[in-house]
Amino acid sequence: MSDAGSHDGSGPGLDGIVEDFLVESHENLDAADKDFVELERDPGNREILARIFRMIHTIKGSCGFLGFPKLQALAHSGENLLGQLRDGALELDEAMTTSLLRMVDEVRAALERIETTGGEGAPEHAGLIAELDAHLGGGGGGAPPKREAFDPVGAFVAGSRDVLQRMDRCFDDLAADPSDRGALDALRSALAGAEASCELAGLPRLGSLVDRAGVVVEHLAGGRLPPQEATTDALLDVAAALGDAVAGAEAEGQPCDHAGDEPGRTLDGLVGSAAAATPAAESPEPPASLTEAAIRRASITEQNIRVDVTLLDKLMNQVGELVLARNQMLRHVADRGDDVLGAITQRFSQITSELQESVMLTRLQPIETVWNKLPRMVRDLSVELGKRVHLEMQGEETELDRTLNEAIRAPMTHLVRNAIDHGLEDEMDRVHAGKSPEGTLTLRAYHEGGQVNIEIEDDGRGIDVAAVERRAVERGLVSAEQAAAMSDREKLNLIFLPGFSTAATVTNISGRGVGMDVVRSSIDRINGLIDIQSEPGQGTRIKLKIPLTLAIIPALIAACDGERYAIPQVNLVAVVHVADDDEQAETRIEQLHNASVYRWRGRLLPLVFLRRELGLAPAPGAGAGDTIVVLQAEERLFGLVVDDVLDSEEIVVKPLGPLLSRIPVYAGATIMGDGRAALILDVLGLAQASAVVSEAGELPVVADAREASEEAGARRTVLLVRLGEERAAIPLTAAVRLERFPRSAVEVSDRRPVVQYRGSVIPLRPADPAARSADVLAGESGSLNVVVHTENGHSVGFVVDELLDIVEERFVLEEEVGAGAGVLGTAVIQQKVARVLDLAKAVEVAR
Amino acid sequence: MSRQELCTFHLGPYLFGIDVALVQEVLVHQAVTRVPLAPPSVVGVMNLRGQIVMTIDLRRRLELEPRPAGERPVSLVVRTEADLVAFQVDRAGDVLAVDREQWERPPDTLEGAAAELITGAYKQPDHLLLVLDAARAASPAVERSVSSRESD
Repeated sequence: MSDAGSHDGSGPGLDGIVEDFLVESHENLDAADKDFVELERDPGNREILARIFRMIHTIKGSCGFLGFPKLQALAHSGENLLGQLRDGALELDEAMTTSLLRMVDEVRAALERIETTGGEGAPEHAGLIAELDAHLGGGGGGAPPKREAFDPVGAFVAGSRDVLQRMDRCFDDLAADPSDRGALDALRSALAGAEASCELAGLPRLGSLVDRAGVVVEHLAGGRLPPQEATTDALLDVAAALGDAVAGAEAEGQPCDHAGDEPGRTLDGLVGSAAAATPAAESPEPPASLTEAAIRRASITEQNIRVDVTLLDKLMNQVGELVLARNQMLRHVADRGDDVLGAITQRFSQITSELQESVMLTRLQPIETVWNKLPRMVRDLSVELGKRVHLEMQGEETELDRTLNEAIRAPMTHLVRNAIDHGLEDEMDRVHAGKSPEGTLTLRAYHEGGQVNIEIEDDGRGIDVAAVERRAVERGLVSAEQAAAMSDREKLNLIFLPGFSTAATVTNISGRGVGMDVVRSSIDRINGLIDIQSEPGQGTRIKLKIPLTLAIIPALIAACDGERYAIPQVNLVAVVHVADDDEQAETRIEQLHNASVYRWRGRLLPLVFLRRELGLAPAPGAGAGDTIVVLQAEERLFGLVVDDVLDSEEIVVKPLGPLLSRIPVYAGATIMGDGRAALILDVLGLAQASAVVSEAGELPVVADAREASEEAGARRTVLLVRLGEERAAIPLTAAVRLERFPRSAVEVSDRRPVVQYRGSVIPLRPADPAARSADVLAGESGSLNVVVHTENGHSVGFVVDELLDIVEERFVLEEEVGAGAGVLGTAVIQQKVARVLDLAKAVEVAR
Repeated sequence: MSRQELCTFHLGPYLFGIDVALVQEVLVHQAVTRVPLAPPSVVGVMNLRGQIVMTIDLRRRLELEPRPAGERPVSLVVRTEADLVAFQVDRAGDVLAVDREQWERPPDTLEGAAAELITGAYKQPDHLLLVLDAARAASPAVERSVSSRESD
């Protein structure tokens, strides 16, 4: 509404006006939510009260103008209450805040109805109006709320009278002290109110004049314009013009919009001098011409314009095209050897990059747009739960792509809700724990390394790691052995596993976890990361790492069966080339049962063959010169075998269309430098797809933890080995490493076999507890398969005859009486009996 | 008496037509990238001025004989409700105005996919013009192997 000029001549159609009204009102209501919460902490803050009052006043006025009488009546009641609060006749209390917030909600609902149906619908808001009015009655002396039909002219007269009174007061204050900030601020808000009522009453010229007066006052308040008589006179002229219009309206029932040009020009001149004045300049320069002044004013008041989001999306697409065309051009020009063309292309390329950057920036939105809703939610929740919560927000201005902002809205809300519901203690508990009775919830957002970090931190009771561990084992999400080998941080992150908890059980266990898997998958979907840290008694911090944009991502381009595939680099850990003639045992693809694994950095990496996953023919001369792309999906590492890795480049992500996007292994498509389309692989989808294959017994190791179910017996990952004629199983935990040593590396120390391993000497023992150490030396094969187990800093290498398989299976462990140290018991694994070894125990015995 | 304009095209011995309003353009040659795991009639995806467009071989979709080796298909880019789709056909024909009154039910001899995808026919002097349901032709069932992965 700042530009009164748009009302000159042919104004926008009614639909346009309603639309503007809706958009503006929604924004104002969001701001009001926040204001109310702030107000509750500082009930006497008249500036905030005035702001909310103006907001609801504007809505009321617009409703009258646009013909929404029910909503108007509601806003009117709210305005009455707010007016009394602002003027200090009433003091804000919690009940009033609740009523006013309810009013905001009902107004919002009504706006939504208008948006969808075009009309305000049936609700009369009678209950709420009565509730709002009741507060007035309680305040004593509150004027009975008026119920007459709203007419813009009447509102203009009433509003302007009010404004004129306030202006009078301000001028008195200013006469006493021309630089009185408080008086200037009050005057500015009075003028803003007057401008709104002028617009509603259809007085664009007067409105424009009042608007310009507002700008002058803003300059005065900002110290950019010295207080002087000319300024006061010009402002008084505006007040007089307003007074004339009011008088005219009262006399003739219709105000006349005949504000003279004179005061307007004076005001523009003043603004011009303020904008032109250097800090050192004492006296105002001669008034600049009207147009110049108008431009300057525009630069102050109209720094933002509204743009339809679909236009930005289109722009983004076109820039994507331009980038691709540029890539094509660069390729061709490089072949031509034409220096002039080369230089032009270079420049063209640079501009394209800059343009791409700028367009991406236009899509950025401060995270505030998401956070705005939170103070209200926190307030409602804390009232409901009887807790005191102070919400602290840092870095609201941090910007990220609007699609990402949308995507984090739900998880963000969930995490905040959880923190208050389960994280923060009630007042009593906090006092007992020696903390401030008021809990603090801190939201932080900041940029770091091309990503946005968002933290949600509370100073509540923290999470009981032991309880999380117990719970996860109970639910069969991890085995006791796996859990035992985890760090506290890893254990905490178990709460993100699906099936970790249900609403009924969570509160008394860990205080966290409802729907955390949903939070995690929403963050996964936008290529984000989530991490949790907690200190018992001190609080919990959840950290989200979100990419800046999804539209253009760095990717690795791999070749497979004559086509190119893009692999998002966010999932990339390493690229390993496996030469065919590589003699070293450490760099070979091995077959364990039906599964292919690759020994990499001391662990066995399960392999997924892209050709097999995509149902393509095996590569001719399989195994020769394979390339393994080491990828991470959730916490799991796996190796993706491709024909070749070509390049690494920035790609523009395009949707695949409704049919093909249902194939889970693709995340979309992109267009390469030569203009051809290429598919983008969905790494998580690939991992999950191959896990499904594993249920048929083909590739067990990538099996997903999500498969864990309610059945009896925990699902565990074990290494199956051959010990002589017998099969044995070794639970795979983080304490276990698989190694292969050449027999020549085995030395003898103190009559026992040892081997040098990672800078120290570790003893070798047969994995079979019944065998003797000396047996290790007796074999004939060229190398030893060794399972290195580390316990409390002590490592022992257990020699097995053969590595058979790694299986993830649900089995029941039968304890074996008299099995001896180092044996947990027996179990049926893959339909055969196997002894399950306890290497942790065996390490102790070996010492 | 209402008239309809159909964009015609040839597939083997047959003459087909699609509502001309749905046809955006005809492309003579376009590089197509294969999409493994897609339904068999999906040849792949192509870059149409920056938009990824799925390409369907109508011979495969209609379960006709494969196109003779060496013959290059042309692509009809068609707007469906959901998306843009390119149909590979043998040859594009003229735009023909047909009379609603000449409309006939699809011939009973049609079998399989053709019976589902052909909504009717118009008698022409020397041909039967078969009307293709473009929206259905553009959405072949996703294979079982893929849908079982989906259920994961």
